[in-house]
Amino acid sequence: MKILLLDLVFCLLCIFCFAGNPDCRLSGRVSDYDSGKGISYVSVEVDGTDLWTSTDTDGAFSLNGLECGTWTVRFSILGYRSYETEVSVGEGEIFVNIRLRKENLTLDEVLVTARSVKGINTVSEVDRQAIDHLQTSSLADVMNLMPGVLTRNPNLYSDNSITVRSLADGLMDRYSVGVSINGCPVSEDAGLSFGKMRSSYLSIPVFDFRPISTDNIESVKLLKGVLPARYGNALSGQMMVTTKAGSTPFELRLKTDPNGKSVSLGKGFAVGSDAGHVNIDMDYARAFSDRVSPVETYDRATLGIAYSNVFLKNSSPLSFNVRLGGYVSANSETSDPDVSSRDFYRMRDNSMSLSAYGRWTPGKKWITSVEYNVSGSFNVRRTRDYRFENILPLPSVSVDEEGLHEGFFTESSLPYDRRAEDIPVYFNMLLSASNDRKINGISLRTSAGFEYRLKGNAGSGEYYEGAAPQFFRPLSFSKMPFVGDAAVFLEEKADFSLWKGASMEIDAGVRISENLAEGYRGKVYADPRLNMRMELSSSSSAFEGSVALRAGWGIMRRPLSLVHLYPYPAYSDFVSCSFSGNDVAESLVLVQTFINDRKNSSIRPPESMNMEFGLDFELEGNSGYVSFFREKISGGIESLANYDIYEYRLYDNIADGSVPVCSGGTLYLCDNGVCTPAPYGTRREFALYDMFSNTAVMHKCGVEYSVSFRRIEPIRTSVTMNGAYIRQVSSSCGVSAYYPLRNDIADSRNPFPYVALFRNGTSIGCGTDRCRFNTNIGIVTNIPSMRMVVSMTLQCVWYESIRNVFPDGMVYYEDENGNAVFENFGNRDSGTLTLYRDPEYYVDADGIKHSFIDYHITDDPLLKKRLASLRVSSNRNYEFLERRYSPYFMANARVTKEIGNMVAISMYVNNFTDSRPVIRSSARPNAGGEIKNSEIFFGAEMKFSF
Amino acid sequence: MDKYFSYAFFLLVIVLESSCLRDIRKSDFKDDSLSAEVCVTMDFPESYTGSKYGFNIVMRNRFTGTETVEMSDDDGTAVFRVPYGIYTASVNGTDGEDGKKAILNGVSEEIMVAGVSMGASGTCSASLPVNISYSSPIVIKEAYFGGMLNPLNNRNYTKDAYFILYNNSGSDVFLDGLCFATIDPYNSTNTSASIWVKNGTSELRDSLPVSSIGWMFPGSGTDYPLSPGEEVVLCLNAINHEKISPEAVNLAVPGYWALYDRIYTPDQSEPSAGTRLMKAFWKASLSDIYIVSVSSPAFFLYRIEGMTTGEFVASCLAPNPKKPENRAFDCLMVDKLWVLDGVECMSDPLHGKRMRPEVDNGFVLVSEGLGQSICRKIDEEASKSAGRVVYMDTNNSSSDFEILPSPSLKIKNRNL
Repeated sequence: MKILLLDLVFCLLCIFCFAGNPDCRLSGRVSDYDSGKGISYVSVEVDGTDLWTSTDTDGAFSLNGLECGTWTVRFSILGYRSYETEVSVGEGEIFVNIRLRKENLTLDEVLVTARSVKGINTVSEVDRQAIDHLQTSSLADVMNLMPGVLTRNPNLYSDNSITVRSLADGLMDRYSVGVSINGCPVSEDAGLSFGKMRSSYLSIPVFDFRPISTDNIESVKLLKGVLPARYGNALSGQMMVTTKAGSTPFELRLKTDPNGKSVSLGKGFAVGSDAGHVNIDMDYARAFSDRVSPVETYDRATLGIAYSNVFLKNSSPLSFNVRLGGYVSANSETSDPDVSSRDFYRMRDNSMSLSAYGRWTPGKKWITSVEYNVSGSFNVRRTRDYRFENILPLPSVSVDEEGLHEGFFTESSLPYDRRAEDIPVYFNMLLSASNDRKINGISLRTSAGFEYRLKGNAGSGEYYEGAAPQFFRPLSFSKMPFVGDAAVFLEEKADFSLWKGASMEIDAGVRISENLAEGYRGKVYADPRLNMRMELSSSSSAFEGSVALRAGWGIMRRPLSLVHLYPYPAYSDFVSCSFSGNDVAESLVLVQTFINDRKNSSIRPPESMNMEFGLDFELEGNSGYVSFFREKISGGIESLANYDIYEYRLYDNIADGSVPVCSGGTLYLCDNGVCTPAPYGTRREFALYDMFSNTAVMHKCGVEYSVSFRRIEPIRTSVTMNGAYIRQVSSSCGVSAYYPLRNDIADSRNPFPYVALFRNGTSIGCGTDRCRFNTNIGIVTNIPSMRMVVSMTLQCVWYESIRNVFPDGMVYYEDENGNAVFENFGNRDSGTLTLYRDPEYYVDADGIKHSFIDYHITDDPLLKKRLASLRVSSNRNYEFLERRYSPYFMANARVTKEIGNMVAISMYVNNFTDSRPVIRSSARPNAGGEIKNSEIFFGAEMKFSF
Repeated sequence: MDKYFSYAFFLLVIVLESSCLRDIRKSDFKDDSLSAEVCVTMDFPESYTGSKYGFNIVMRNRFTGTETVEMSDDDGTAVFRVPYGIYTASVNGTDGEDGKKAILNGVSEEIMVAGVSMGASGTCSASLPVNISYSSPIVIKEAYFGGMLNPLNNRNYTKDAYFILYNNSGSDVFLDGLCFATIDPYNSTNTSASIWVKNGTSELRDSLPVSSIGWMFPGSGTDYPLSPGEEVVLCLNAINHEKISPEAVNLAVPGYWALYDRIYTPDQSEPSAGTRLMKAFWKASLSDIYIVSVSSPAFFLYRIEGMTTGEFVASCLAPNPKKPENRAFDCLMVDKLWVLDGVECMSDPLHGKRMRPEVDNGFVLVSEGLGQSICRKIDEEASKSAGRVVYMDTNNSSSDFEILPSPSLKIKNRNL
């Protein structure tokens, strides 16, 4: 709270100070190095300010409103090597002549790995050339270039996920990453059906990146650590994708690998003489799960059309981009034709998105730049799961209200045709403005912005066409209201020099967000973000380089998904009476239904407290960084089991001859016209259901490093080294219900009379502790005369371990007298002992909570026997031992070769030595072990440009 | 000259060598080096007073499955000459005296026949413990559990499983209190011994573990008589299955007994009108149906002697050696002396047996999904002399049972 106040005061103070002298001007011309022709649409940006412009058809540009002094100006355009130079602007106009080289392998230096961008937090950037060399099949494959990530073979057959600084591919890990394309968010928050899983099993909707093709991407930037206040939909990191805009030659790509093939086409051309550019891209990919049998396939076709232009180039440049994109993808699985040719599964996911974005430099004193972003998208996901099973007629009911209802027997000789129609709809809007000024040598930038996101679902939901399983109720998605997320952010950046060769940057911001959902009291959250960077540079003859120290702290937050706010109800159906007479008309089914809406009215968006310390250095041509990071996610979403106690009538078996008749909620037995009330017993049962709660906890800490050594000129080889040491502890801090036995031990006709309530999960351990230390060593050699670049990566995992977290003081074994002996089994082999963990409470059928200490002090042998089965136990001797894996290595190789200016061929082999040793864990040296390295995998790509 | 000498020399060496080698090899192939003599002696219980001569003892190679049969002499010993390997010896026979027919069954521990196990004598000896049991008045006549392909959806339909019990004796038998059970583990497994063995040995315990649910015929004692030659049908789902699969059996016949309980087996179908309900007195498993293996069930009939069902459950519940801390896997232990008749089916002849030799000294091999059922063979001699159909009951299902290509009730109930 105090930091928040400090932030706000800082920002407000700075708004009222403004001064400066923006009177100098910079103009020039940008042309092609070889032909001398002017290049249009080149982006001209002044480092450290919001000033930018774009060249016209002759390649000419003009920048006004520039503060006099020395600036670094950057020139970049798709297809050309970007160029940065220092320009001193004084009184009068300065004219510069810039010649840009085409980006291809004839250039001396080639970058095919991730580049760390100098900034206030850890940023890695991957350019088009690196993506080409990597040969990706979807956006998730780009992560292979990021520091510390283990190689993952491209696979369009199963879900493609993106995680940042994570050791597991779990749902919370995937949920923590935010992805945006051209500033427009990509999200699954309103998705309600998840492919093969029945919608009611969905706990966290995560995005599947398979439909996002990479051939139209210009660059990918990954921000980690403490993100500035304008980013509000991620906990660990934000990936920003920029698509191609500008003139490109006609490009045709053909890709193949053992699991699939793809073809793509792209072209960007100028419209008229100075009316912008249109970029069109399309792609088609097909993947198989088993190359021998095409029974399971995935198809994807994408299309994108974008228009981009810059208006008012010379006065107040305004960039305007519009992109219409869409994809059609289908997942199809048919049964093995030798077994059954009738069952199949089909999912079709079609999407369309429209976005408009850009920025504007109005040249006013109050506002130096404005950024806008408006986008809308929707998916139409249709699933059909057809299964013809052998089904018995069972008593069922499908009413949507509580109470006793007459039901029916399910159909027994019809197929199950499950269908789902999921139509998540999104609308996003972002508007931000900033003010740049300089006071007494301090560059200040104040930014403020507003973001609004609307999400909802218009799908008809999940239903069965024809026969439905016992107790199935159709789920309707469109009944759920639309949900909005509104946020306002304020950021203040101060950049000043401390002494010669030393500069300092402080970036403080706050993000205020509120979730607007019907039925929930909107709570306002204010999340502070603070980042600092101190740079010391020296350009003396003795020592050339710079060192920067970074520090950041902040709270990140991620809004809730639709399914968390409006979960599907849990139906508990109890068959009161079920009679199958000789005549269908005589059959009777009576079912008592109870409904629990599963809503958690106190659910809140998960948050993460992030902290980062970094050291960036650039010495004698070697550059890199080391970042120490810490992320504490609290309030993560998980499904916790909860219980209800229900009471209903169970009518006795109906003897031969009588016919049951239900009237007024009571059952009568009629025999030859004489009706008597039917005898019954009352039964009380526990019903368990899952509820979403903010009880998942994840702590991550680690060190990430990336070093680029100075290029060895004689052999044109550069060596990079990157990796990370990450420790991740996941656990649950909630109370969950546990009901392991259905029937009582004493009389198995009665339900088991107690439910246990456990804290920290229902396993004997209370969490998972993972650890990994790895290094990727990359060697890149480029041979300009052959127009070829070869890279080899050696992936070394030095240390990897996983262990179950030992709950202190809660685990015991029983000695020969049956007394509990508590001992510390953390990291200890427990031999042949059976270890137990008690629940906190046990609840009886009247709903009264009792402390579980009763198990240890009671004299009643029946109670003791019953409570004994409510504990969780383990007789695995390695339960709490650390499972450490010995080091394992893998090598990948890639080659890209250009043949003339029109053809480029790329090939790669992952794990080319086919090193697949069986790694045994230290805790179980005699067990089977695991093969940690992925299998040998190769692919090729051919690119034609004309 | 030297050249010729060296050639001759080499030729001589070759000739000599081959003859030597021939001699060396010859001895390798003599009978003594590949096979050995084994003496198997039957170990009768002290109470046995009958003859020991003339029983067929079978030596079976555990890995190849080949069998050698020899007859026992007056001392109950049989001498075999078998190739090196690992064997088990078994015996099956009857010592028939009018009235009380004793059935002799026995199986030995593993006998290793190899050079190492021979004494100085060059022969190996093994003991074959023999158990005596008696035939039962009520037997399991037919069982159908493998299921058959449902042509409507190309899936195996197994829900029409049934068991037929038959009165094999000459007098009335009362079904009241008769219990039916399947053994644990449901399926035969490929370990050499079941997990239910006596401590430290590989010998099966003296009691049989009942899995899942305990079933019993209701009644006060004389409510449900079964005359000689009459049979009753037990089924899991007493409905007309022909409606679901044209290749299935119609079990919606009044008088059939349903292994169904509303509380224990809610996922089984409601039995049709006229069928009777078996009483379920115990359940441990978490399943909502009664589990009968479709490939290799082992089932038996027994009576609880000397106590009520409540007392039986309270005193004879045992934890499962595989999951001793989980109450859902507990089994009821039925003493072998309470067992009337048992049948063990296996899906692979090399699997381990789950039933003691007194209960069933053999096994039935049946494939699932082919619509086959297992049925006892008719004992021609006994039927002729008794004047009614008597089924074979030597407590060895390898010889007592045959495979029927189609369940008998399928055609019988077709147009009911």
